[in-house]
Amino acid sequence: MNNHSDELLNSFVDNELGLEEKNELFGSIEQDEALKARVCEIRGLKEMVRHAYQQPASAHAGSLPKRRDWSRYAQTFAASLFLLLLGGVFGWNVSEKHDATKYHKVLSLFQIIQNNDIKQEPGKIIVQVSDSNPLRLKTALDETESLLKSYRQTGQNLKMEIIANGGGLDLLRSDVTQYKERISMLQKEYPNLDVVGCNQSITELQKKGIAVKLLPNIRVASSALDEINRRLQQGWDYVRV
Amino acid sequence: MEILSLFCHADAFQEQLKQIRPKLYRVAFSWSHNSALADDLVQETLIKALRNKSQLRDSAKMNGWLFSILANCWRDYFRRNRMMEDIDELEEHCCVDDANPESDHEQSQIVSRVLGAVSRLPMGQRQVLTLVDLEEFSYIEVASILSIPVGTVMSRLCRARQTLKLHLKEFAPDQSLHRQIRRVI
Repeated sequence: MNNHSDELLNSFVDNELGLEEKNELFGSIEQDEALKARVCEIRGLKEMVRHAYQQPASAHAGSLPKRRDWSRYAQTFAASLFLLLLGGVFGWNVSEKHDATKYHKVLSLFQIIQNNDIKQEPGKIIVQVSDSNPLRLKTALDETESLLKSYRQTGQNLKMEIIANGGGLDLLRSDVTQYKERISMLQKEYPNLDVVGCNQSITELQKKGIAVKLLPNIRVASSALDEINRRLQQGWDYVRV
Repeated sequence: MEILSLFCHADAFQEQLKQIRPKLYRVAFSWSHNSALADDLVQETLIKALRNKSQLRDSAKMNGWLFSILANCWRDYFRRNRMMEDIDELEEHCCVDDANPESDHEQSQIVSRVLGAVSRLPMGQRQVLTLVDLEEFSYIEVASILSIPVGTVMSRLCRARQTLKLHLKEFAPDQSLHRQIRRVI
């Protein structure tokens, strides 16, 4: 008859018990087949969980987001930090329920960028779009264009990059996008705009048997994450739509 | 010399982040069961870690510190998406494995069974289970990472394993059927 609690047996399997308790339990296990079976069962579960998640399938295992050289960009520190925070705040806001509200939030994010005084350094902004939500795709283009225009009007330098990955790749796929002409027009009008697709996302689609053809003049980066990391390292501001 | 040493420390920190990244991803995936979201969570975690490096006073505690950031990022994700009225409901939230039938087929049966069973666990239980089983954190460390009492860690782990046992038993070959067949023979 074993009256050991599951909590105690879990602690035993997870090596949480002291030497004395462990010795005592080892003794009981030797004499009690049912107890031994319970312990084996917990061990088995633990091993199964470990086995199931053994392969960390991320393709980004080797790269890291690089820390920005804040001293070089002290003049834009406040604006940049604000952008990073807001980028985070809006970045994961992908629920379909409040699109109108979110549109205004993203819009205001770009307005904040425009309103920040970053005249001392050329503006460098990377915009990530990773969601196929049409509203997000449109917003990314609308606000990128608006920023490029306003910087040009005020005679300030601005480099912008749109990086599309995941569902956001729809923006750049020639057979899917609704913005073929618009992107082409933007690229012609603003040579300071670079439009980039994520090779990892392309590969994932290809694995599913989907042929991916991108619009012309689209640069392909090894992965969106690597590209963003590279830009952050170079002192760019990062916004995620 | 001092400047050189600062650079060396920065490199060591980044090297440590690089090494721990697959572990963070594995846990993020085990929580979200969504590879894109797991990548995002890890990216956010690493960016926060780099920005708040100065908060880490003891480098020996780096693992726990990073997983705490990951847990906060995961919590924030739910807040931003307003997926539930009360953030405390996160502990009870279950997610659905995003693996499609094709990828299921590619995986060994036992792997897909376990992934499916873990994905049905309430989030609070799943977090504890994966931190203990995958990363071998002690109960105290898990309590600190998730900001919950050690007793809660133990009870959640216990419930998680009990549920897992039931789910996996459901999928396992029906022993009673075998017995019936034996009787027929």
